[in-house]
Amino acid sequence: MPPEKLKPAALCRSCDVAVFDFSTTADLADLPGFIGQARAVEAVNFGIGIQRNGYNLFALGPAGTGKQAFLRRHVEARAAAEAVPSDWCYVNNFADNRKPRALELPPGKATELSDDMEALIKELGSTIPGIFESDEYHTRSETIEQDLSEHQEQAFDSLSKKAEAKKIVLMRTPTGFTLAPMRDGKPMAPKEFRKLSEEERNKIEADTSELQDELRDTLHKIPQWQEETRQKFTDLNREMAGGVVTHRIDVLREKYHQQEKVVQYLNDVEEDIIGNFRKFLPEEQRHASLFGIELPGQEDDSHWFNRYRVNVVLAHDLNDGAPVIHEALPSYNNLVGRIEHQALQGALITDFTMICAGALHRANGGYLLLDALKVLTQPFAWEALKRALASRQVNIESLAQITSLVSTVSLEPEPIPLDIKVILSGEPFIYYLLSYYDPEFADLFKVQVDFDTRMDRSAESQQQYARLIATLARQEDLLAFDREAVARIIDHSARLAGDNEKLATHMRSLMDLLLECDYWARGRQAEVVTAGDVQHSIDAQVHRADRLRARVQEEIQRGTIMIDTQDSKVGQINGLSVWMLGGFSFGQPTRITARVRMGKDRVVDIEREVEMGGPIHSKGVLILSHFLGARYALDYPLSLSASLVFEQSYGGVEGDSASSAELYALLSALAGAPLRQSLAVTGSVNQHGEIQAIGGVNEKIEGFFDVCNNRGLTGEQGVLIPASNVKHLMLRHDVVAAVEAGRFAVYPVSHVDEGIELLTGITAGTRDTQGLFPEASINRLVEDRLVQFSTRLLQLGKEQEKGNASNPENQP
Amino acid sequence: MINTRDASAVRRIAVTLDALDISIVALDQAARLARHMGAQLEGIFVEDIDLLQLAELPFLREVRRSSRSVEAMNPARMEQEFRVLARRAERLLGEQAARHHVTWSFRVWRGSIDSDLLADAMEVDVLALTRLGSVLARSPVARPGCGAIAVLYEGGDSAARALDTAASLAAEQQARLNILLPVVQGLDTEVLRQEAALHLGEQAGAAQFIQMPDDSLPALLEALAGTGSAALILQRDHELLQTPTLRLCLNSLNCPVLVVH
Repeated sequence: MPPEKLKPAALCRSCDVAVFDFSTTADLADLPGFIGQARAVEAVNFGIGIQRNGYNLFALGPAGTGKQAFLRRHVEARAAAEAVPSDWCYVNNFADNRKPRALELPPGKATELSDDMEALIKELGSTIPGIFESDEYHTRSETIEQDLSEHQEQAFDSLSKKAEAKKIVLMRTPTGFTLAPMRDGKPMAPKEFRKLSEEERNKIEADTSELQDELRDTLHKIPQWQEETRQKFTDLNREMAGGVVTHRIDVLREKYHQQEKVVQYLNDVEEDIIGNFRKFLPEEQRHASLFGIELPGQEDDSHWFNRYRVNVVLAHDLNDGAPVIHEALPSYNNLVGRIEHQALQGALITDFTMICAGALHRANGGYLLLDALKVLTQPFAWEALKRALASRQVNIESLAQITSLVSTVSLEPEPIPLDIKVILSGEPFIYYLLSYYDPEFADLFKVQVDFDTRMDRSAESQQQYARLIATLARQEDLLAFDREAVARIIDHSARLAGDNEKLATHMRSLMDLLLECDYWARGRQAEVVTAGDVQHSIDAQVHRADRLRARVQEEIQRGTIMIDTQDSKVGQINGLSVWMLGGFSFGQPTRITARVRMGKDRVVDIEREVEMGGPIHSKGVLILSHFLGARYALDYPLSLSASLVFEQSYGGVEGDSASSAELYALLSALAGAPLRQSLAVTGSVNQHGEIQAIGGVNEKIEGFFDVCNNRGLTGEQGVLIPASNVKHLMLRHDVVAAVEAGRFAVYPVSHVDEGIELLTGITAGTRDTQGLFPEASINRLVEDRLVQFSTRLLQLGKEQEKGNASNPENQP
Repeated sequence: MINTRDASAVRRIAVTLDALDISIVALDQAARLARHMGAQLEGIFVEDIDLLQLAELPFLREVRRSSRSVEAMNPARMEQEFRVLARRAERLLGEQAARHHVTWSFRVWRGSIDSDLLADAMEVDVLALTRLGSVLARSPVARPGCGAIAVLYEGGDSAARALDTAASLAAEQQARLNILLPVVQGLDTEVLRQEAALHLGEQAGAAQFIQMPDDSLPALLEALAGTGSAALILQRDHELLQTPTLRLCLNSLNCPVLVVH
């Protein structure tokens, strides 16, 4: 028996306004929490509650489900009650300035340390010069100088006296010393010397030689004395500088005594200042001199004092709670930080003051929200993120160093320990791809937060939905919605979900609709948004998007696209397809035709032959062809050659929702029974002839309805849909009204026999005890035709054999 | 003749450059004074003829200062070394002159330091004398801070000119002015002090007056000790400069001597 047409109530489950006990949404309280995402909420609570490595979160769901807004609200609420994390700063490493040190301080203290260091240097800039201008310093340094002079004087005096006693004088030469004979207190002239006796000359030579050895010994000691003097000056300078520096730094050591690393840093600062006290002196006193010769100093001291600065990379307010950071552009540098450079005389220079924090630093101790696709499309960002999470530290390295593109020396800042919860959000396919292809992903992102696109529709959920509308309206400062408007929105939500037992949780669509409803309502100076405004908004949205649909309908009307909507034809049927363009979908009838002849068991899918049919479509055709082979003329070889085609289709076909329509066309061609062109068909068929559910059922029905309606409904027209799709129906009101008026119909079909009866008006027939279908039933007609094909083919085969046997050419 | 405070009358300031030990301090002092007075700076490279003659003695040996190696004295080699040193001295002079923006000239003087130097070199208005041929090396390690300018004042026009020069130099360097007043027969140090103070005017307030027991070299050395003096100003006709052993006097002092004509 063919199925009954569906009643109007089954075509669109409207929300009953009577269940609402409010007048407008202004009467409703805000909805706390989130709607329809119980699984996701539970996952988020678990993910941010568990404090173990690797339990970072990935929120997956289509765009527009409100993942990011939900996550941010949820996380911010929790973070506000959590502890404020430590401050961090970078300071100079005096032992190796290429490796700046990281200092951790209690929140609010990093800036204080920076200010304290600045004040320290400023103060020492005035106190150190004073020390070295003091009388004490002058006296003590002169004493050291005097000591060296006396040493040298005594040595040379002693030597000179010895020489003098032997009438020899010690003199300087351009590069050293010499001992010369003396007369009357002055060096003896050569001609005077030559006048001396040989004995006297020999004695002078011998004395000179002896004194020469002593002179060498004395000269040997001088460098040693000079070194000792240098050391005494160094010690004196350290003592003088240290006296004022140590006292000042003691104050800071006491202040930061609880931070061991800070105290260690202050110790290093103290040592460095004492060793470089000259830098604190006025310009003209900076250059040291040694034995009266000025030693070269630094060419440019203007940046020198930067070494004592404190680079505060992370500073927190005590009232902030844990940080929640959303990095909109998660590039490598924005994530892990960067080291800036400055051009100076043609070279690039940098130091620890040019280290800049990244999002990982800013979120340390808290939460970091990232868009997964953006992270993956930024070069090196994904690897850097994983590296930081796996190592539990942030290491600032320049990309140039990592890629070995540049081999200049740069900084290697001390890594900062990382305690962070990263929450990625993205489309489901990204999550599944990462799970499959990235072995590290499962180690680092153990918590899957799955956002559903729809929720159950019940009285309670409809009430919650109303409160959600109220909440969003207040948030965006919109007009209140009356209850009819709310009901209409709920109906539209079910339509978006494609299921009259569900509501869509696509927040962006809902928000857009609310905003537009408010716009239209304000346009007519209304005080509340009504159902009419809602419908107008929906219609306007459709109108903005349906140019191509209108064009298709127009061409069908004009006969350019050939679609029959009345009479009957053999081997021809109205199939239905859905176009998805951007965010808009619409249905359209397509003529499907089938031709049959005797042949070699081949059902040709022309779309597949020309590679315009996708694999799912081809699968559907193969299924129906095997249905034929398994159902009819089982004792005969299948001797059918058939072809199926989507007429006037030039853009490719995919999906198996038209496989039942193709089967009907084939059965019609085999049986020679014409099919009603006033009906359109959608539904997938399996090998048992059962009609299976398809997608886009609303759009498909409306697509055929629009064609019929434009030509004028005859009351004979309608659509065959899978029975399992009835729960998905949320048809337009004009379609429902037409059905109500008996001018259009929707038939739920479970089996191909039901459908063929509706389409042909002929009984399908079931096998009797002899295994035969009833006479004149569709199935009998089909089987008879197939038997005919097979018998004829066998006969032809025998005739050909006979012919071959009697042909003289074939005789041995 | 130079009248008091007539800085524009000083046209040339010379500085001796000992071949064996070039005093940067002396160069600096002379250049500063030249700049302050708008005078030309002249460098006199001193070659001790006595040393050159000694080099002819075949048995004499030279012990090198740093390497302690021993080599026979060689006049030709010594001449060569003097030329190298002269070039170095000229370069240093040029650098100091450029640093202080003064015009300069350079010449080589060869002769006997004790008997001929002062007479030959004193054609200029101020002569900066350094240690000459001292066995001891350069000034000891210097310390940060600036010194003072000392002047030996015994009254009279020459002493007044020396006082003016010292005051100018002290003002230029913002250094303390130490006025040494020797006790000698016929001179009342208090009178000398008042005379000097009157001569200096406002600058007297910042000057320090130091009394010496006499005007001998030992007394002078003792008076200068601990004052941090960067230069000593003497009048040309002072007794200390008249002694035959000028070298000894210069080598005993720890700072250059500026002789005012």
